[in-house]
Amino acid sequence: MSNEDKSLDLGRSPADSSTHRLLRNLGKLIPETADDVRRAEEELAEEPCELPEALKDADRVFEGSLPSYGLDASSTPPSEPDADVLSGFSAAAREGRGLTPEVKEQMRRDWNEARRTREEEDGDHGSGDRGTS
Amino acid sequence: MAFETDTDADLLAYMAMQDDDPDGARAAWGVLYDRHAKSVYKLVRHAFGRQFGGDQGAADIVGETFRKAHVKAHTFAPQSDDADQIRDEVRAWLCQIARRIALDLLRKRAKLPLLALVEDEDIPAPEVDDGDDMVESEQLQQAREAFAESSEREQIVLLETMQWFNQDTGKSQMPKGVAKALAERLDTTPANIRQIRRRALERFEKRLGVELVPRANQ
Repeated sequence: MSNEDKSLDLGRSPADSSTHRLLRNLGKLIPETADDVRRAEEELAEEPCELPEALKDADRVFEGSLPSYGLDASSTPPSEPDADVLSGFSAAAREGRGLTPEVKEQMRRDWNEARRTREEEDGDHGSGDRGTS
Repeated sequence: MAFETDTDADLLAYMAMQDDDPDGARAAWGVLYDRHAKSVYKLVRHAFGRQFGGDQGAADIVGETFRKAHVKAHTFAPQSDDADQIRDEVRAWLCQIARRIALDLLRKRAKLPLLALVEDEDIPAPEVDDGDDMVESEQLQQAREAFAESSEREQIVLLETMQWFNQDTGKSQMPKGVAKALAERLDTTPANIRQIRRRALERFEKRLGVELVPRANQ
């Protein structure tokens, strides 16, 4: 299957490129250039922001890993996520609120599974591949 | 070893030597993290927080971004000698990594085959902006207003489809699974997503007029 078959072509508009740039400059899309960064930071300067607990300890971040959210498609096929879990993701995204208990439980299970897998891999391959001390 | 007075470019150069000096590379990474984590988190949370469940989802992406940056430090090439400019280039580079991670997660969420694993890709240095590309504050204000005038549904569609815009090709191709998931969330169809997007873009065109046409087409 080609990429074309897997993708929905959204069409082209003369406004695409400029709108994309403006939305980056407004910080609504992730910045991609140094100029985007400057402008987005100015745009969001008044928005309060505290690092969450998970990011406060650099050592913990360095040793961490991305939770799979049940979406890891590496060596083994992922189990079918529950419809409730998927709708929980959707609702959280749609409503801008936190995750449901079901989603959190699923994330916890996935996190534990990812950690077990990583520990097993570290056991197989030594001290890891990041050049850590 | 202390790196507090080193420039970001120097820190990334130390990180790139992780095979020879893992302790030094790790220490340099820590300084880079302290300098940029909060800013990158703020940008990522604003751009992707809604799609990933808010603060925690954004934090997951940012953590992975910095771990990836350590591995990919050798791919960063500063375009300037100015420390402030390099700082912004580094943040743009980190944001590009974050974007790839986020889009990869969205593809996985949509249960698509992985088209491009983040691990296999080098992250190019951010573009250098030329003066002509500077957006006037008036134009930004008009864009702000055009966005505010859009319905919530149009805003969501515009932002989530624009994430898949490829500046090099000028194409917007959203993975079908992602489009389907978005359509389901909005209780509509993927075909209608196109229409909603078109309406939102027309609003921008109307508000901003000819100035919105990309310079390459002028």
